[in-house]
Amino acid sequence: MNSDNALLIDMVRKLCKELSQTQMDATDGGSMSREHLWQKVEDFGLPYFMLPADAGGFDGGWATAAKLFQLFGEYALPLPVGETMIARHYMHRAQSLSPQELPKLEEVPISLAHCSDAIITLNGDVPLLSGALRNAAWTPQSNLLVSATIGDRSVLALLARDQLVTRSVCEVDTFRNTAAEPRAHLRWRRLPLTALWHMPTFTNLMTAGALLRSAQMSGAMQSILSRSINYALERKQFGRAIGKFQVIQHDLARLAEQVAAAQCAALSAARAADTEGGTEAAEFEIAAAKLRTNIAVAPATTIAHQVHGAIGFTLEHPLHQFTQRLFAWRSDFGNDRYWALTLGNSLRQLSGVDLWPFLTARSDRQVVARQAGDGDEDGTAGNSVNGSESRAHPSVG
Amino acid sequence: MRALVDEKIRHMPAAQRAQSWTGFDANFSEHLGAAGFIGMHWPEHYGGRSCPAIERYIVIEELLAAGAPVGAHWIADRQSGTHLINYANPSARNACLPGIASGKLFFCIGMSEPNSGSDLASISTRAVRVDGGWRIRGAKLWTTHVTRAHMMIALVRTSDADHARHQGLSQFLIDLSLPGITVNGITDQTGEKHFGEVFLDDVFVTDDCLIGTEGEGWQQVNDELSLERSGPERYLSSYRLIPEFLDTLQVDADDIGACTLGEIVAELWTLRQMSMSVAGQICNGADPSLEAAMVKDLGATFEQELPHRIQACLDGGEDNIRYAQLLPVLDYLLNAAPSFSLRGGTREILRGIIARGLGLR
Ligand SMILES: Cc1cc2nc3c(=O)[nH]c(=O)nc-3n(C[C@H](O)[C@H](O)[C@H](O)COP(=O)(O)OP(=O)(O)OC[C@H]3O[C@@H](n4cnc5c(N)ncnc54)[C@H](O)[C@@H]3O)c2cc1C
Repeated sequence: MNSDNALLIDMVRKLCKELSQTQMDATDGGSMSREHLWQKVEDFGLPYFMLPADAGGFDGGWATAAKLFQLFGEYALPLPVGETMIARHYMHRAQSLSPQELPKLEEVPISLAHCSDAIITLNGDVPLLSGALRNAAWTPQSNLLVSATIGDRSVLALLARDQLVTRSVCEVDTFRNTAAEPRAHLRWRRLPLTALWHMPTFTNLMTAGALLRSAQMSGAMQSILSRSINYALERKQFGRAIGKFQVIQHDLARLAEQVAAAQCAALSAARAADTEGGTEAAEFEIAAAKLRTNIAVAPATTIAHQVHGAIGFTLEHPLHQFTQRLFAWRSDFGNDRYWALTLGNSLRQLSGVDLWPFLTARSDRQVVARQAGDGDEDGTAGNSVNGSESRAHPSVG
Repeated sequence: MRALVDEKIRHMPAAQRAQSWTGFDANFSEHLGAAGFIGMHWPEHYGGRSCPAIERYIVIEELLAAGAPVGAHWIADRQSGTHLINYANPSARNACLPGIASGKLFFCIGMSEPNSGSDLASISTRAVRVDGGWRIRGAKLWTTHVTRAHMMIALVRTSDADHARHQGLSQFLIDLSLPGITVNGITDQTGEKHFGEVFLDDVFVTDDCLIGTEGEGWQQVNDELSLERSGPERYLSSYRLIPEFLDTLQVDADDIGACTLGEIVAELWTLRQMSMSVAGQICNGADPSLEAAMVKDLGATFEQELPHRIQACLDGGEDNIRYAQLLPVLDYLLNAAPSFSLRGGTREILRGIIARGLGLR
């Protein structure tokens, strides 16, 4: 990682620490509102992270962004920061291709979704959107950027928050997911769109969302691993730290393996998105990464809770902030069934002998591209397994 | 190399290719050696080509994916040769390395004994210093390919472990044709004489057969085990099943088959990324032993579960012609898989190493 990135990641870590601390204080009777927290994110400039420098951004690619997504998971940020970063990135690209007049967005987050049954009709010049979304994240509190495929063309539509609650054209069924994050099922009937972009290349925000969640999940897993190790060294039973019992040691070893796999998968997929020219082109790697992090959820959360005993089962203890998010995020932007079928059905086009060349050609191309370009943030293909130099030994802290 | 491999394996039945890196074929090893694909990362004067280690990594991945019978030279190429370069004296190196690189000199690993498996430091085979060399007495067990190998690197006791049990161990290079050596094959549950036992009855070896330093055997053997534990073979042993399974799905796959394939490939892809990352770190001179142990344990678990997962989603049409290739591979791997978490250090031993790396021990 170059030093600029290390510095930036450090600053974001500090911000995450501060925000998660403020948030926890707030639940203790303080009055820190979500709006207030979000303002700090805006002040930092995080939503614009993936924009070019001349557009006021940090020029952040997917690989660096994924490290930030991991931090959002590691600190259980109760805000759609990653969604907004990705939405701003797509909107900037769309705007530079075909500028549109944007609806007025307050400084509130922008969430992401892909609508697979969208229909667009016209009322005079005004495009109207019909379609439905299930389990849409952070709506209708946030604005929403939606991708859709109309015929053989991709479009992006931006829906401002106030539009999402217009009763006449929008049915909203809100609920809280397992981690008490806001979710909604939405149905639009001829919702007038103020901003609709026709995209020149295939665009699907579900894939970008899957990369985001996969990285967040690997970050949340890092947190439950460090917490579990610390607790095992601290908690004494039968006259010694429970971490001295071989069964506990082996459980924690298995937990560490799952975390390493999740982190390596998420970061490798993010690097693939950089070298393949976008998340859609890296759908194979992102599908594999989301599926692999999903698979890690059950063993990782089960072990973390087991090691923590009853205290970890209380509302007061922070463990559930991470484990509940992992339960919930497993279903976001494609659950296991979705990605396993997507992968399985696309691989079935290959014959058996072509599988290995397919796998290696993709990753080798990515390694070569990284070594040739300056986009190589880790120096070589040989970054550490769990992806983060500062955490190569995920022991204490 | 793909051409060389293709010519060799084209007529090999899938079940034989499923033996992966334990499939023994001296003739193939000789061909591969002649083409410069053994010891390729060693210096030229030892018969190598001074290739970057990552190039060797890619070559062995290809060999494994194809199911080439690499077993004869595998141990020497993976660990014994490099270990000799690191520790042996020049005469031993010069005597062995060119032969290994040409694919004609095969090695085996003499660590385990009848009463010492996981607890390797408890071995009782002994070497006693005599005029001009050493006399070795004892027995080694579970020695892979011992009936067909020429040389063994053995861990033996050279002095008593009065205080620290890891002291007093040393490594020797032993020519298996020496007088006093008896070798017997042992048939494993797949029906192969894969491993065997070696009895050493006061075998005399010369001084230059001592590898490294007398009494430093424990540290040395751990270095040797790092070479043994970090390669891609640690997650690819059941690879043959994946392409064969994929081929059965081409005609009318159901969702269960496609889902299983998707999950397997997601895990395979992740393991490859992890394994390459370990290889990359080794190339850069780092010591990723914690990561390597994690990859080996995850990899062994993956390759061990694979035959069971695939068996679980067969659809009952096993008499169908489309299963003709898959079923013999499945049979073989169901039988072979229990060994995947034993050889090279058991799952429990690896998890202990990981726990140490996590600061728990
Ligand atoms: C196919 C195959 C090839 C092999 N090839 C070679 C070779 O070439 N050279 C060689 O030297 N050896 C070889 N081995 C031997 C291998 O290294 C040993 O099998 C292994 O080290 C375990 O020893 P063991 O079989 O005596 O089992 P044991 O050590 O008796 O273990 C039995 C069980 O107890 C567990 N156990 C032991 N100690 C502990 C502990 N402290 N805590 C928790 N659990 C424990 C083990 O994990 C295992 O599950 C091979 C083995 C196999 C199966």
